[in-house]
Amino acid sequence: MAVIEAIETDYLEADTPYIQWTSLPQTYEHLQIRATFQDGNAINSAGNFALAVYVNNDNNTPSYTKGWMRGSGTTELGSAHAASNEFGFFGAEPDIPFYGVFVIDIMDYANPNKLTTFSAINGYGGTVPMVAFTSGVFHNGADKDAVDEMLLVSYATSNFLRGGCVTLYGLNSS
Amino acid sequence: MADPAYIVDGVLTDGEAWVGIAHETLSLPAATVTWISTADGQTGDFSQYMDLVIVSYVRGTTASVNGNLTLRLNNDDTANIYPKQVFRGDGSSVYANVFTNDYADLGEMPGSSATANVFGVNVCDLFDINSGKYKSFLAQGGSGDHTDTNSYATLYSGTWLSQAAITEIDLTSRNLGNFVAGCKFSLYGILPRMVA
Repeated sequence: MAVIEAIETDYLEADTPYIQWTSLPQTYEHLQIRATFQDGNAINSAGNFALAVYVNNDNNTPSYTKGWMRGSGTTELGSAHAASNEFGFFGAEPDIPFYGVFVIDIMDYANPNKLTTFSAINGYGGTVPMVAFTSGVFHNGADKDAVDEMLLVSYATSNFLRGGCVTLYGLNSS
Repeated sequence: MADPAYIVDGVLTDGEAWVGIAHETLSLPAATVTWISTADGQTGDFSQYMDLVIVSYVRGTTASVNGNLTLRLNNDDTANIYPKQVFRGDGSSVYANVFTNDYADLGEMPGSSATANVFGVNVCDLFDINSGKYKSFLAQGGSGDHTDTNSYATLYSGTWLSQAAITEIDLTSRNLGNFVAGCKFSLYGILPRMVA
């Protein structure tokens, strides 16, 4: 058995509103998402666009919290947010061939007795350069369900730009 | 010619997604560590990977203040071709800034002014290395100890402003010093899902 297995890769050959993985195997210890994304918006945003990750078909942001620290230009930022599931930033179509890059870890995702915790690092080199470290929790009240479904969207409710790609990896214990 | 591990009897399989490509442990000080794609369809051929990961355990021969671990891709030293966003903490404050140079900074590195035998660590992810995108990286690092005023925890992001596939990686120290003996460098290739 491989220690790290690629579960699924999605290449975005056209602009795409979301990436969804369902019926995730519960056989791994941890999951990792590695992605390059850009938002499909026709204009850039002064604060870039955010990548949102939802799990278990719970698309309500009050079910998520996060804390992050990031650098953008000469500005350092650190903050915590209730009702937020953003795990990094990217720009829009005018900035291509820049794409935002992401590594997101989901620890012990199959454990039904823990709240699900994410950590993410992200970088973007386009018009608004940015680098960020984020940690978040899916709590859904006190629900401690194992994760069997994930949904990735651009928080701007627009598309992921064509050319993006993402792979979900499973990490085994041996 | 032997098949790579992910081809069994001529059939593509999804085996280990992380493939160890190369590992270097310096027995003598060295100015540069270079990896070049073998371009032969074997493990060392970068063209088959989605991402690359560089793991470094490093210390330099010159003062820590100038001891950045730096990267060039495809031996490209064109002026201002590597913009980067840096973000780091020194134990009491944080610092963010942007720079553009003819090399990419992956992180800080202990040097001659650091406590003896302290090495820095760095993990650098290079994304979608064979695409037509500009090639971007994320690098996390830690350097030195609390007695070294040039010791940092770092998270750097940068871009090589080229749409070419990555075929060569060169690691150096920013001020052209050497890496000391005992430094270790590992290169991993990250495969995508290859079978439906």
